[in-house]
Amino acid sequence: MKNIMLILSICCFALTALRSENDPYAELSAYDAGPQTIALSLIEKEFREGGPAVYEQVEARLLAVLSKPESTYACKKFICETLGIVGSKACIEPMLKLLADEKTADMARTALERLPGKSFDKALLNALKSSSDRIRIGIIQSLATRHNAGLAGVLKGYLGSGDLELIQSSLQALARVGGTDAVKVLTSVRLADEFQPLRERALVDAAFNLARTGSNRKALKMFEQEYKNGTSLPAIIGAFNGLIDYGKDTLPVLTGVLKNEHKALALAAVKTSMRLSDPAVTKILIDVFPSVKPAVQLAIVRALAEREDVAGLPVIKIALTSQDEGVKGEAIVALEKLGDVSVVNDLATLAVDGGNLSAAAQQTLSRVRGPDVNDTLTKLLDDPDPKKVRVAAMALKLRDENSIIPRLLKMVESEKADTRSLAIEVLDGFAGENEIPELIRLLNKGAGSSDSDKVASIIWKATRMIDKDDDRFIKLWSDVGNCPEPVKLAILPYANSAGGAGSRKIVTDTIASGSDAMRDRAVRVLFSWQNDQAVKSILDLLKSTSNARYKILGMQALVRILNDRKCTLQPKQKIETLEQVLPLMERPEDKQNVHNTIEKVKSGK
Amino acid sequence: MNNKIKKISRRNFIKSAAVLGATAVCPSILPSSVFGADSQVSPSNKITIGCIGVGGHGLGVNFNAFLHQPDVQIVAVCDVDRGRAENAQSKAHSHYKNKDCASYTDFREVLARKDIDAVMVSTPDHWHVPISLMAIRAGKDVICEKPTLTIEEGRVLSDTVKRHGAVFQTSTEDRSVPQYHRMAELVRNGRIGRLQTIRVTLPIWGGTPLEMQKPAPVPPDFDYEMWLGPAPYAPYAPGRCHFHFRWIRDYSAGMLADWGTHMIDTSQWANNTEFSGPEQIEGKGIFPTEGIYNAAKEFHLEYTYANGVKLLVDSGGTSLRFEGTDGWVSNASWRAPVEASSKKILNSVIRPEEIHLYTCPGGEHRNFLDCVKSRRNPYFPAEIGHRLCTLLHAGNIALLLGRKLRWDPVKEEFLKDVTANQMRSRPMRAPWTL
Repeated sequence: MKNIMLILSICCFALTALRSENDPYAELSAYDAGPQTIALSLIEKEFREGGPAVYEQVEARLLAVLSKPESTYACKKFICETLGIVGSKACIEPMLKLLADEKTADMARTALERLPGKSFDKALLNALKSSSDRIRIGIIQSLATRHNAGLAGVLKGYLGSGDLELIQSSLQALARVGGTDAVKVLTSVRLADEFQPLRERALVDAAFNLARTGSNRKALKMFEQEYKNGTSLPAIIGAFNGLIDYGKDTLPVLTGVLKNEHKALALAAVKTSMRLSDPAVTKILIDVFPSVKPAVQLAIVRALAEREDVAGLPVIKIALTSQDEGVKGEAIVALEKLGDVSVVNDLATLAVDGGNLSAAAQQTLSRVRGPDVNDTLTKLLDDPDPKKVRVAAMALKLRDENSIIPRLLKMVESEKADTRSLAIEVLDGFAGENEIPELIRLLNKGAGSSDSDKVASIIWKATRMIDKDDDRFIKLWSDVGNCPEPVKLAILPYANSAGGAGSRKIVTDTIASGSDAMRDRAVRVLFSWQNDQAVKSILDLLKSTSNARYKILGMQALVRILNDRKCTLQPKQKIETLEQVLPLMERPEDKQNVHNTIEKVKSGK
Repeated sequence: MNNKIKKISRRNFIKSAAVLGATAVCPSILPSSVFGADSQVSPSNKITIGCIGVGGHGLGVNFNAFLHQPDVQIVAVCDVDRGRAENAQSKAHSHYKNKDCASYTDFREVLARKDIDAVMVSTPDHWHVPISLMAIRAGKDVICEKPTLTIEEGRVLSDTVKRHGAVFQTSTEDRSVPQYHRMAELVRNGRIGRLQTIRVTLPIWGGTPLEMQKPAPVPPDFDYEMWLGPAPYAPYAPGRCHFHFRWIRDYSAGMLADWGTHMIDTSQWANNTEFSGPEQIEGKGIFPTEGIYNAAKEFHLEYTYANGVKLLVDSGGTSLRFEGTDGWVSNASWRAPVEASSKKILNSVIRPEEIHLYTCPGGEHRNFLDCVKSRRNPYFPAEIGHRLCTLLHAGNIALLLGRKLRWDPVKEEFLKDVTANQMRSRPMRAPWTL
C-alpha cells in the first residue's frame, strides 16, 4: 500500500507538472490512437480526483473539443467514452450528430446508451425513425439495452420489412426489451419459416423478462404456448424451464419431460431437477429411472446425488449393478454424497476388482458418511481376501480413523510378510506423534531388517503435526540418540529435513563416535543441510578430518549454503568462514572455487 | 470441407444462412448427440468439440487438453488468424491420423454445425460472452476462458445457461490445483478459526514497446474486423492484438481480471461467497500515461464482505493468504506449496463428515466433459464466474472513478451511484449484441 501511495504521489506530481505546461484538452483533438496518450490520462485523472463535482466542467470542455473540425476519430472515440461516464443531457445533440454518421455512430452510442434519463430514450427513439442500415440496428440495440417501452411498437413495423438483418436485430431486441408489448408483437407477428426459431427464442426470453418484472401470469401463458406448440428445441427447453420457475403445478411437467423420447429434452429436465428443492422431485427421478436410456440414467444418478436425499439411495444401488460403465461409474461417485454403511461391502468389492472403476470405488470408500461405516471397514480387516483388507485399511487411513493404528502397529510385527508390508504402507503418513515411542520400539526390535528404513520413514512423517520447537519433537531426537546404531542409521537421513539443534546434535555426535558406515551417512546428511545452522559443524569437520573427499564435499556444501539467498550470515561472517576454508583446500580448482565465492560475497552480488 | 479454410463475410454468411438467425443464433440446429435415437450419437460415441480461438493459451493449453482426452474428438478449429487455425488443424490431423478436423476463420460456421456437441472458447475477452451466448442458444455446451467483459454480460450469460439447461465451465484450473483446493478447504472447515482477512497479490504487467502500439497495416490472413467484433473500432497495431489485448479496456479488464480470476476465485471459494460478493469496494490505481494501454497497471483494492471479511488486493506477485482468529494459511506464489501458521493446520485431515469442496484432479477440461455427460454444473459454472468477475469489474470501476463504492449483491447494483451503475454494461458495435 505504501509503495502504491508513493508511486501515486510521484505520478500526481509528474502529471501536475505536465499539466502546467500542456492543456490536455488542447492536445486531445490531434490524438491519433498512437502511443501518445498523456492528454487522455490527465483528463481521466481530472474526473477521477474531482468526482461528480467536476463532471459538468469536464463534459463542457470535451464538447468544446468535439466541436473542432480537426478532431480526429480517436479523439472523438475517447470523448464519447468519457461522456458515457461524466455526460449529461448537454451531450445529446452533439452525440446525435455523430450518430447520424455511420463512421461515428457506434461511438456515439457509448454515451447515448449508457446515460440515464428519458431525454436520452426520446432522442434515440427519434433518431431510430430517421436512420437506416447499421446505424438503425445499433440504435435498436441501445434502446433494447435501455429496456425502452416504446421500442416494441417501432420494431413491429420492422418485422414486416424484407431486410433480413433488420428483422433478426428486431427479434433479438424484442427478447431483451421484454414487457407486455414485446410479447404481444412476438406472439402476433407472422414471419417466414426461417425466422421461427429466432422468434420462438425471443418470445421465451421476452417472457422471462416479463416474469422478472412481476407479470408471472402473462409470462406463464407464453411459456405454455411455446412448450406445447414450439418447433425449436432450445426454445422449448427455455419454455419448459420457464414453466418450472414460474408455474404452480410443475411436477407433472417435469415428469413428462423426463420421459420424453428426445434425449436432449430428458437431459434438460434432469438438469433442471438439480436446482429444485421440492422433496417430491426425488421420487419422480426414482420412478422414471428404470424406463429411460443409460445416458439419462447417468444424469439421474448425478441429480439424485446432488439432491443429497437418502431416498435416492436404492436407485444408486441399482445403478451400481448397471451394465453401462458410465452409469455404474457415476453411481460410485454419487455414493460419496448418498452412501451409508450398507454400500461399504459393495464398494470394497468394486475397489478390489472393479477394473477401471476400482480407483473411484476406493476414493468413495474414503468419503462415505454414516456412524457405522468405520466399524464395517474395520471388520473387513479380518477378511480372508488380502486385497479387501488392503482396500479397507487404505480407506480407514484416508478417513483418518485413528482407532486402527494400534492394530496396524501389531501387524508390523506379524510373521507374514504381506501383512507387515501392508501395515507399513498404511502407517506411512498415518501414524502420528503419539505413535513415535512405539515405532522406535519397533525399529529397535527389527533393527537392521529390510523394513527399518520404511519404519524410520513412518517415524519422520509421524512428526508432521508437531512444530520443531515442540517438546515432543525435541524428545524424539533425544530418544533416537539413545538407540542402537542401526536405528540411528535408519533415522539419520531425516535429520536434515527436521532441522533444529536436536537433530543436528545426533548427526555431529554420530560423526564423532559412530562406526565408519554411520559416520559416512552422518557426514552426507550434514553436507546436505538445508540452512546455515550447519555452517559451524561443517567447518569444524573440515578442520578436523583428514579425508580428502570430505574436505571437497564439505567445502562445496559451505559454498552452497553461503550462496543461498536465505543464508542469514552477514557478509563479514561469510568471508571469515571461507577464509578459514581456503587453506584447507589442496586442489587448485577447489581453492579457486572458495576464492571466487569470497569475491562474490565481497562484491555483494 | 476438410483441409480448407472456410471464410465468409458477415453479410454473405447471414444471407446464405438465414436460418441461423441474427448474428449466428441457430436455434433449430442441435448436435446430433442430443437427439433421441442413440444411432444418431456422434461418431465413435465421443463428445465432439470445436475449438474457437487457437492462439497461445487456446492451442497450448485448451486444444491440447481436449486433444488428449479419450472421449473427445476435436472436429473443428477456428481463429481469425488463418495461420493459427491451420496450425491447429494440422496438429489435430497429426494426432488423430485422419483429415476430419475442419478449419474456419468465422466462429459462426462452427456453431452452425449440428454434429458439434460443445465448444471451447479461447478468444480475447470481449468475445467470450457473445460467442458463448450464441453457442448456448444453438444448443451447445460451452467451456470458455475467463473473464467476462462487463457485469451485465455475466448476468445475461448466467441466465441464458440456466434457461437453456446448458453445461458451462469457466475455464480455469485453480479449483483442480491441489494447493488452492486445499487452502479453501482448510478455511471452509474452520482450521484457521473465523476468517478475517484475505490478502492477494497479482502480477504487474509489462506491456509492449511503444513502437508496437503504433497503427500499422493489418497482416495478411488476419481478419481484424472479426477480431474487433463487438469492440469499438480502433486502427490495427501489433501491440493491440493477441496476448496484449488484455491491457486495453475496450477488450479486457487488465491484470485485475486476468489473474484476479485465479487467486480471487479461491478467495471467494474459501469465504463461501462465490454466489454473492462484497458490499464495499475502494482502492487506488496507477494508470499508464503513454501508449494505447489504459487498464490500471498497479493497484491497491480493499473489498469488505457482509460477514466482515476484508479482501485486500495488491499488485506485485501471485500470492494468497488467509488470516483467521486461530491461524493462517497461504502460498507464496502461483502453485507454490501451502504454508500454515502451524503444522497442525497444515497437515490436518478433512474427515468424511466435513466440507469437501468440489474439485476434479483431472482439471477443468476433464470436469467439463464429465458434466456434459452427467449434466451436473461444472466446478466453475457461469454464475460463480459471473459473481467473481462482478467483483473484479467493480474493482476496476472503483479505480476508474476514484471513489468508494457500495454494492448490493442481491440486486446486483451499486448503491447511490448512478455513474457506477452506468458502467455495468458497455454498448456493442452493431450488429453484435448479447
